[in-house]
Amino acid sequence: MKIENTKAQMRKGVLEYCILSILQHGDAYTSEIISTLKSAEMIVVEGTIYPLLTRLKNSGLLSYRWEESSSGPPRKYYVLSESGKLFLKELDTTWNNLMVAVNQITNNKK
Amino acid sequence: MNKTININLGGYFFHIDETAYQKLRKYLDAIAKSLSDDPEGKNEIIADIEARICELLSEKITETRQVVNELDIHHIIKIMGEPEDYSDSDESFQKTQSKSNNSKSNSKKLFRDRENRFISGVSAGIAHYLDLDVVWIRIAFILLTIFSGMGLIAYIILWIVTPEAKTTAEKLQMEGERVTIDNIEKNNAVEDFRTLIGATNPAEAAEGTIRKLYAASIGENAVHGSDSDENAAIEGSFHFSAREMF
Repeated sequence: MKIENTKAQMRKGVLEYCILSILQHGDAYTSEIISTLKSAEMIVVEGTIYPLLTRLKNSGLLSYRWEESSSGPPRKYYVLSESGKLFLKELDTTWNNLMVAVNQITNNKK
Repeated sequence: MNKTININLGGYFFHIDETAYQKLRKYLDAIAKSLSDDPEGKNEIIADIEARICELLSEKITETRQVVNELDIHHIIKIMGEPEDYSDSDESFQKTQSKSNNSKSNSKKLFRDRENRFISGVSAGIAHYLDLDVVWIRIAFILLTIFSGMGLIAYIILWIVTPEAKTTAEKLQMEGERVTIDNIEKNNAVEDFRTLIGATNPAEAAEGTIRKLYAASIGENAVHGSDSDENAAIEGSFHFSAREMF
């Protein structure tokens, strides 16, 4: 049992939730999503994100559009779809419940 | 001085030097492999990754530095992560990894196995090929010879047409193992190296071996090869510190 694996697993579980939350505040292209996650120290390397974004897109929670960029290749802007918004709402509730539950357990010093 | 290659990455055009190109190629191939359980989204993911690498590289290229070098690729891998980081679920990657390590290649070849021979190694070779015990093959040849005489003729023909497994690579092919560096190393490293360097006494060493060519006497025999893995560990520590051994 490696501590790094467990840590990564924990983060991975809420990664989808984080991505959807980022897009809630407005459309974003891949690098923006990544830099937000990186600055919050949710991810260390970028690699994990690409398959995840594609999976979210293929399951209909996200859609995307191409936008030209003045520097570099065209950017893929991800947009939260209607079903994505519903999904996110569900996750909001789950996350809040989970936080309460975990706090209750970890702070219980009896 | 290094040769450069022109590549198209995410619709952009880069000059990249040869070693950096090999690195990048290998990296992208490894990623593709770790995504192999997801064939439909794979091309799209790779395209996204290439677009991102393109973006990162274009930040590095300036008027004064126009060629992508190895360091740039290292930098990119550091940002993007190792190929296994791309896998969506951890287990699936480990599974495919061990699969490719353990799998025997399907292309077995028929060789004569001189190491397990009774007469010429024909039966032992066939036994490897069919994954049977060599005894059954021998009994079959003997019975065929007694009852029809065909056994002996068949044996002689096979003896003539079947090549002998001489090199380690051929022995692995005979047993249906993949010919990889790993397999060659584990198969016969100690023995093969001792053949290469020749007999301990240079006077007795075979033509072409290191000792025949370069060594003067038993004491000054130019190169040392341990006779087993255990002795290698003992003898190795005379000459090298743990830091220097791999």
